[in-house]
Amino acid sequence: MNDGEPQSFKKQLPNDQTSREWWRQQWSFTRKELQETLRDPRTIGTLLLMPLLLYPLLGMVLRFLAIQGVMNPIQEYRIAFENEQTAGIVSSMLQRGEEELAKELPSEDTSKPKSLWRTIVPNKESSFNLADAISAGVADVGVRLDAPINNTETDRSGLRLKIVIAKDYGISRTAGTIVRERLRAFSLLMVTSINEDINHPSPGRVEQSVQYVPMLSEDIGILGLLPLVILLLTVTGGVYPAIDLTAGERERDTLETLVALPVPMVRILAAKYVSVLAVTLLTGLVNVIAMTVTGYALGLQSTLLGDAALSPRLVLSFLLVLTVFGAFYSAILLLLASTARSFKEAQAFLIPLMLLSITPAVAVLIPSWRLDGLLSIVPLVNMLLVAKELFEGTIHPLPAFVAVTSTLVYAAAALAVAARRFGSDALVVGGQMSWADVLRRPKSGRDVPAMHTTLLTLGAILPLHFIATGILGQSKTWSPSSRLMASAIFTALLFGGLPASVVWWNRLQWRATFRLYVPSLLIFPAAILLGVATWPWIHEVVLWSRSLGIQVLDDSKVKAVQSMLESWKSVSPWLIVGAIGVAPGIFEELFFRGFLLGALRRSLQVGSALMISSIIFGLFHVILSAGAAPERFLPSTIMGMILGWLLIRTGSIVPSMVMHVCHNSLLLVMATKSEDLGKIAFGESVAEHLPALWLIASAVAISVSAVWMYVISHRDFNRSTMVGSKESQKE
Amino acid sequence: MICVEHLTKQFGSGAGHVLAVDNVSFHANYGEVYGLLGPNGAGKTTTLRMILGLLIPTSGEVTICGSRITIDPIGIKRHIGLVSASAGLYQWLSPLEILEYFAASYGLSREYAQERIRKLIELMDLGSFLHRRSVTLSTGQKQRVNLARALVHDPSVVLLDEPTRGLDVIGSNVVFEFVRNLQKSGKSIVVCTHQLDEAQRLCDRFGLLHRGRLFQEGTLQNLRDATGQETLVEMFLDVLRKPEESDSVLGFPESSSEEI
Repeated sequence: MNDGEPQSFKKQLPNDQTSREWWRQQWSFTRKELQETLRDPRTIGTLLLMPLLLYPLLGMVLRFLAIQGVMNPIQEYRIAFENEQTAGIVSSMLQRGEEELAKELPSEDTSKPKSLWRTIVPNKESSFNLADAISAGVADVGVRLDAPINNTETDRSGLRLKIVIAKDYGISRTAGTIVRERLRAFSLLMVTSINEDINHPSPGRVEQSVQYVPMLSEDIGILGLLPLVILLLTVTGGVYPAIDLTAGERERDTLETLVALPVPMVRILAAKYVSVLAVTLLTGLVNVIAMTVTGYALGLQSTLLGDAALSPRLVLSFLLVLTVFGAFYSAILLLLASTARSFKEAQAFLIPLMLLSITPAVAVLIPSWRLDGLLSIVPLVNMLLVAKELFEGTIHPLPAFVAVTSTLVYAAAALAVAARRFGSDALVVGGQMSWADVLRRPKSGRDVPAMHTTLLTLGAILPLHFIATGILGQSKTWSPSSRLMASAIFTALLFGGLPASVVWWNRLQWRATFRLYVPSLLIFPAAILLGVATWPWIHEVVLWSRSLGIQVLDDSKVKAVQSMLESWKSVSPWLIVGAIGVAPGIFEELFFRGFLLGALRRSLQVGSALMISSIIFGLFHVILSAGAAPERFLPSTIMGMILGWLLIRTGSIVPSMVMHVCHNSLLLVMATKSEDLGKIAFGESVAEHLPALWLIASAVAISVSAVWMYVISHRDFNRSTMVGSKESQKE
Repeated sequence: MICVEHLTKQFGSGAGHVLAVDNVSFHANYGEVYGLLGPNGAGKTTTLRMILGLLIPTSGEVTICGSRITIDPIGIKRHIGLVSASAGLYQWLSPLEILEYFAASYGLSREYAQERIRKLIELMDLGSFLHRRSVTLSTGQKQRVNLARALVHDPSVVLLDEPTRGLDVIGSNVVFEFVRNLQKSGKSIVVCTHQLDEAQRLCDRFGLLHRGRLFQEGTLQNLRDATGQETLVEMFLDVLRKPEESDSVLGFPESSSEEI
């Protein structure tokens, strides 16, 4: 034990870890949590035994019902036609196709009944819309004579048929597949055979196309229940480890030694989070496998999922949604479980959450609920809607992106609060600290926001900005100047007012948080030059993004931008520059550079902090601006990095504000002065690269200002409080 | 060494507040065993938890090897090893995995950690159950693992909270040996206990806590001279019998802090 003088260990315990040591340590935390969880028989019980027992049992019940005739796995599908004539022609085609398929697979068809379908034809008097009939569930699939390939009645050498399928209804999809397979077989037979059946003049070649219609019926297919299944899987997988790794620490009397470690609690909790998420995903995976195997083994897959059960796309989508949903739900579970002082208390917290979660899971089954607008940022609901639309195949990338991004931000915020709660006074000593204590205004402050404060602020700004942008989008009746004013006010309140209130509430230092320092006057020319010289290259990045296929700027959005520019002609240019150039330039900088980058810098390496703050800046510009477009991500992120670099070099928010204002204002002046330049400025021109001379001039100006900035800035930032390694360790 | 100055902890506020620790000051030099003694509820564990950074002091300061708890609450934890009778083990990990986990948590390099763990296995005789899951270990074996865990980062200050609670004679003896070894190796040791006879055997100096306040401090001889009682047990019984008088002698912490 006697290893020399007491202080000798200091050499072995460096205060400043390299990033490799940091990650090694983090892996050690995570490995311990995974070992603790995965070796626990109770975790393995929920992980393996439940699906292994549940699904075969469930399958046997379904099979029993099938034998009893309650559920017939061999469905007699209902095919609707518009009239008797089509019914006659297509029925004979289906029959011939069926015979052809039977020749290919004689052994499999022995148990099947002769007729897989029955036809539904309307009365001659009634008008009959095939799409409505399928939507209403009158029939499983509809076949309509679209048009003969040759428009002459006499020459029936080919037919064009439209197959009408209810999109989110498994039975309809299976019926559709059955019809299409038989028509294809028939068509193949006709093309390869020259023999014509004289009694049934055959139309010969058949071209098919599919029309999907929404299912309006109350009868929801099993596929529609998948979001609910995802929720239940996540809950069953995550609940036990979440409780065991948090409240369990206290119950086993290991919390004290854990809190006594010289490590910020957020790192310990991050390890626990990874472990909970891993178990959640494993549970999901085991359940998917058990479900599929049971389905195959008992021959129930077509009854349960229709043709979709076979699709690897479905399985992949399922796992993808499970991952993001699990990431969110695990953070919420940890947040609640971290607050509990015992297993019992944790269970008391989590049961209401589980019950509460089932409500949105059932609500998203309502067909009219789509992933759109505000619903795409409502936690829990948005990911369940992503799941629903992904399985239906109706998902749009942009709202899905918004949903995933907002969900991950919420998860990070929940985790940050959990870290604050876990290991707090009350948990260690079993006192009476309540949730009110978390929300209570601290008695003493610190200089810059802590990580949990930053993440919570981000978590609040994201949905609020979304709502604000939505309001501006809806305000078409307002005058152009009112909209511009409103836009400026929203920007100021969200990026200035909200962070300012956070600073006030947490008694943070205003100057340190927002980097409100006066830089050297010599920096201004460089900042202005960067502000006016960067846009040609940013424009090139937009073009490059588009060449990669990152674009959803459709005609309606281009028109919206055009009409907006048109409407501005009646507005004072000062107002335009003030609202779109100066206000974002000042307030976005206060938040993204001052508040966010400053706070991230406290906990992360300078490169990581710069990268993360810039990506968040980029994401905000993609998902939330009025002309939302993914091709804005890359240029905005690059702008964020340049602006962040300015802050890091100078230590002051002022140069990045100057650059941002110059950049925005220049684009606005271009837009209002010249139509062509305006198109470029708003990314509306799909065009064309800028003249090489412009790009060279821009590159020279950027280089000159960068070198200028580098030479005259004196690393104020590094000397300032933001970098102090010891202080960065402060909780 | 460890130096505690005017440490105070108040739970709650207003009329219902509890002053768990009231202006407590003491120090323990290198190679010295300091006994923080008192009956249940005296404030021993709260004091210890403040030193460990588990509780934020209402006021006061703790300094260990030049690190101050109010300035570097995380950094100060690197210097402290905690042995607590109530501390549990991770039941699904083996003693070796537990030691490796704590070594990594204290930021030890891999080679240094291996060396430390090898020494501790030898010292605490963990070899025979090194790879067994902790859930299968006996109470004595668990206690040895806990002692080894507290020393994995070779701390300069070791805090022991009721270290012999629940242990039989052999187990207690292991702890005594452990403390003597630490003392020889020049560590500052603070032992919190209400087992006064044990403390009398172990400690060089004593601080007697009652109702959150330190009412006597010094070597056994100092205490005997001040109280006129022979043993620690008698000193406490004397105070407990006359609670109103104990309140009147609570000027001691001030004088004890001056000694430092």
